[in-house]
Amino acid sequence: MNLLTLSLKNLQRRKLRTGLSMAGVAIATAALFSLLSFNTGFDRALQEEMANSGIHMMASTEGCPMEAASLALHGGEIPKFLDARRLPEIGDMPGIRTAAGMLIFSLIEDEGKAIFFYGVGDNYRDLKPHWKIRGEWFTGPDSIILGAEAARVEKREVGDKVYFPGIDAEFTVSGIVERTGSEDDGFFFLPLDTAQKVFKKQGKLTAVGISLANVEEFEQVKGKIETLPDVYVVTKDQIMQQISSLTGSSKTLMAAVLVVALVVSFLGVINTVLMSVFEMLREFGYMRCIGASPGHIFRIVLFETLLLCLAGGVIGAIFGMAFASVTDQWLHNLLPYAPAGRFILFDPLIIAASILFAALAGVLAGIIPGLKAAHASPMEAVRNV
Amino acid sequence: MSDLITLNKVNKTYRRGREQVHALDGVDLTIQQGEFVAVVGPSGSGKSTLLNIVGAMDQANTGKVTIANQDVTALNEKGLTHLRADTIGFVFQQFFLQPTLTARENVLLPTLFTRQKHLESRADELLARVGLAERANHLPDELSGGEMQRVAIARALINQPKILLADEPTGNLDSRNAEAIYGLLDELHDEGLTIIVVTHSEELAMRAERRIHLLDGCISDDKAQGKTRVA
Ligand SMILES: Nc1ncnc2c1ncn2[C@@H]1O[C@H](COP(=O)(O)OP(=O)(O)O)[C@@H](O)[C@H]1O
Ligand SMILES: [Mg+2]
Repeated sequence: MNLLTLSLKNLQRRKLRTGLSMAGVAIATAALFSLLSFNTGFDRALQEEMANSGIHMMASTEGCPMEAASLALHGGEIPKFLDARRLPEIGDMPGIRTAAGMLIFSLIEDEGKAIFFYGVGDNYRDLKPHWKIRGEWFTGPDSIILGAEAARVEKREVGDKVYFPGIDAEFTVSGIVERTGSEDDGFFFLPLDTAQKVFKKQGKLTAVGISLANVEEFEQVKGKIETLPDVYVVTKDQIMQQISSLTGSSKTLMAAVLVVALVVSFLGVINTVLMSVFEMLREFGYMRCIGASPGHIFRIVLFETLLLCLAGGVIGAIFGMAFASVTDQWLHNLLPYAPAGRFILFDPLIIAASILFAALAGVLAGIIPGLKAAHASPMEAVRNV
Repeated sequence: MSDLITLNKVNKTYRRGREQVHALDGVDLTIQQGEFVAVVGPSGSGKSTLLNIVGAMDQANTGKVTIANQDVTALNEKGLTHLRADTIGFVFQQFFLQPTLTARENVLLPTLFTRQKHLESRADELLARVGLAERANHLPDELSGGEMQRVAIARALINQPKILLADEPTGNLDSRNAEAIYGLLDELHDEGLTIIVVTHSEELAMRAERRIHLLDGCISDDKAQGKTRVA
């Protein structure tokens, strides 16, 4: 038996109260763990996705990286179009490996939900080297390829027909892109010519995705493309920056919510322990009578909060890991743009940091109640009332 | 025998609203090693105050208190704590056992606050001594009042104190349970322990070899008495 035993037994004495504040700490720790994981995971996933997609730059009529980024990665229309004659001009430039034209259109369905069509040429595949297609690439002008999520929502399999009343057109599913975790999952891909016809934009493109043969020639190629009339180039770095700033406000919001959660659970712990300290003043008083120093009493209370927070922290970290995939899915849906891949991966450093933070909070939360308890005089025990 | 406890013109006043209450009023007292003293007197006469000052739990306002050659009035918090931990064993009317600990753990509780460790076997001896060897692993909830007070006495003895102080130790017990406590105190006295007990029980006061009568914070009577043994 030692002082720690005493603290542990005090916690066990009020199981419901202890359990509730432990749950508070656990939730706060799980949130902290998720946010820390997300902060590193998001950037890692974004880097990976950018490295996977061979796109080095995008050419469009819009110079604003914001528009370009959301268009390239989020799916969106811009009302200005590029002349399709620019495509072979770009493609023939030296130093270009792939120049893939795309026409992006959205369609509002009956339920008010927007669906995105990507009209893409055959060489679009070069920009998506990590795609795994179940079935086949386009087999004819009425072919359609569905993202995994689009296929799930439309309840279509390879070989099925899918009809869109908004454009009065029917297509046959030639392939389904297996789940990538990115926005691609929700898109409908049509052959470029078909898309131009259906949306009445013959000879028009929304953008050209460009992959370079040699990344070192980046600046020369960019400059050359921009000599073409009405063409602006947005680079991968600009797009990534744009995505980061798009995500920034979400990150800030999440951090704010987290801070509130942390403060609330911190105060909750102080309150819980302070309440039991008030209830136990007499006990501390008689412990002083039988030889306890103020330091002993302080430690009993400090250990109590430390144990409370440490246990809550461990439980929170375990739950954070256990629900990582749920949180991941939620974050992917929540964010304006989410790269493919998991954000929350097993990272012992982040787990340790979260638990350590909870323990540290426990020590801090123990100070006020600890001092209060340490001030209990021996006379507290014998005072009538 | 040497003087173990001396009180010199000890005053203790409490404030009650605007009024000053003289709980102890110029008390002079010397108690020698090995004495068994009963403190008696009406309610509010200052018995508990006297015991608390002798136990270094409360400080006198004026006057000098010496316990085991230490000037208590000059001790700081740390010194007082050591005095309580090493020299004094305290038994309360309300027992004050830690409800989360077993009888044995309660007996060992004071050892958490001193450097003396590994007193488990001593705890078992003491529990056997107070007749509770069988109840060692029971929680206070599962013990009777008499048993709880015997655990409290064992706890007061674990650090081998020079002085045992008890404030109405049988106040919450029926006569049969009280009898067991009287017997125990008698035995401890025979072994040389200094005992001071505040009591309303004539039966307990009778067993002491000295009786101090308090009245309005003053010692009104202090006399030795023949120890009456119950056969
Ligand atoms: N903490 C206190 N505050 C105010 N008055 C007190 C306090 N403790 C004791 N007293 C008063 O001091 C006097 C002596 O009290 P006490 O020593 O408890 O008497 P006894 O134990 O003989 O009943 C009483 O009048 C009591 O009301
Ligand atoms: Mg009293």
